[in-house]
Amino acid sequence: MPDHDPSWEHREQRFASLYREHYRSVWAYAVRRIERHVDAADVVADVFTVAWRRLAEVPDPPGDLLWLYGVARRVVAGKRRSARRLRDLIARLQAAAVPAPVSTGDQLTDRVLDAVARLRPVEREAIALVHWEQLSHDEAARVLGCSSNAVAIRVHRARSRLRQALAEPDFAQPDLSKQRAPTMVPDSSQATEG
Amino acid sequence: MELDELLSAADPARQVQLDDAESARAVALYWRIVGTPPSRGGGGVRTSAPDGTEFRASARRRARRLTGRRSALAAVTAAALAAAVSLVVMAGSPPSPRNTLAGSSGKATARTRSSVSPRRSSSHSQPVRLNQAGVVLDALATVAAGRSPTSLAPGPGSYLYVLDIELKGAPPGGGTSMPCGSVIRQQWLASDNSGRQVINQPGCAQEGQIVQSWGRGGNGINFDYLGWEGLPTVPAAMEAAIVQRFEGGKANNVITFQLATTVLNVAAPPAVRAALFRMLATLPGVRYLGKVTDPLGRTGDTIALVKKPDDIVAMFDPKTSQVLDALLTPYGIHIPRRMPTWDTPELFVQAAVVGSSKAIPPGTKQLLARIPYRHWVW
Repeated sequence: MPDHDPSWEHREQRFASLYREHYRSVWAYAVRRIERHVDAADVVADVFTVAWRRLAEVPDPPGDLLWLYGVARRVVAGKRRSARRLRDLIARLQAAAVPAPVSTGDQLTDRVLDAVARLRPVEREAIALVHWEQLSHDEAARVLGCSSNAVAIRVHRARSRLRQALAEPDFAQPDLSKQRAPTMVPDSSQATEG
Repeated sequence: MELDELLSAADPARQVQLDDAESARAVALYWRIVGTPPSRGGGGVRTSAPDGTEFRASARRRARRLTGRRSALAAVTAAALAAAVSLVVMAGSPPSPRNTLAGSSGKATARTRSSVSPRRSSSHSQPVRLNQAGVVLDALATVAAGRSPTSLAPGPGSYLYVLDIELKGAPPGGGTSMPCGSVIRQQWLASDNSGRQVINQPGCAQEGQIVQSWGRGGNGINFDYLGWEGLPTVPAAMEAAIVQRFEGGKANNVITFQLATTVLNVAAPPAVRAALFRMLATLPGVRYLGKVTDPLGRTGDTIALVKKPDDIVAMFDPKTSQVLDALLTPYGIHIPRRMPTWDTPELFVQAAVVGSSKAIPPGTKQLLARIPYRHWVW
């Protein structure tokens, strides 16, 4: 590639803008779904590396952030899927390497996060996109590759389940063996990264 | 409190300090993706980085020479390998009980990971394809079958000692995700799955030593070295057994390739290793990439499982059939004849059976002293 390739220049400028604009949002997305901070950093690195490699496919704002969320979703799904496929191999490794879930120190917050973790994956992702990433149903639908109506239904169901779960008197003592942890959980419903 | 408020208050992103794009970690990652860090630039016209800091035009020219392809490769591979620490296992070692793997007679292995689950066609009834990869793998199988029948399976009171180096490819001042230039890992693994490991991270921001011990049952790290036990030695039957034992009954080329090239290809006896090579030849997507020389100066035959988004590569010593290195590269990008350190391979250096969980095979310290890992930080 020539030293003064204007296309490279343009490409880097566009990527820099994308990076500057959305780095923090992608970080937040990863942190909300990956418990280990180190793994969240890997998700961020993977997402922006994919963005750099596929810069021509990245839509113009405001669709660029949704595109990044879509990539991030697949990267996170890939981590979960790998964990599932290798569960027999890594169960003990994870037990050794992954710290126990850290309490936020706030009992109510912990209860909410536990309740979110117990949601079905599609509902969990939908409510996270809407409440935490603060996307509209239409925007969340673009990230998830489904209809806006489907997002609305998933959010509605998730909210119902959350209300029900938070009303349970014994919820504060969850049965961890039945808990669907938000991180490193097998999630076959997610799409393949590619 | 309303549910909306509860959800908002529980947002995990509010519980942590998020980096901005201007943070040192963000800037380091940016340069890892697109080019050379500004600190390595020379003189020239000033322009600005995404964080608003200034750097020099020659750095941009250098970045162009590196090309996004190379940088992306480093970033992807480094990220993937960093993740692999918690996802996959490790492997590698020679067939003789005491053996030094560095140098021309070296053997090695590594750990790779992929997040993709490709479809695969059943190879149970497939004949070995007579492509170049098939020819090379068949030759490796022949070499493996002719090796000494001794294995590295530790007996009572002894341990399998494994030394490997994982290159991390982090830039100076890089983030917490990949803060090290290299990780030197020594493991002592007993047949009852008890063991110990010592990890040194030279060049890290937090340079130090991590020592871990575990009792019978293990912590997962030592799970796979002896995982070959009970596997059949007929390739098709072996593949079926691997799928059943390690892949939950659903075939996955990526895992099969990784297990066969590294994890199971360490302490296994010759017949098992030969069958592993012949089984590899039946996997769809396996290609021969040619001869490559790794950062330790060892030259071997590279075999790849070509797939998106990352090809999985393993390099074997044609004289001993031992795996020397393993790494990920972005799909379709060929490895140069001399494997750069930014390809972040994992180098298998030494394996041996020793008498205690603290014993080191003779010559190990001298061997490590000769390895220029401190210069591998890019």
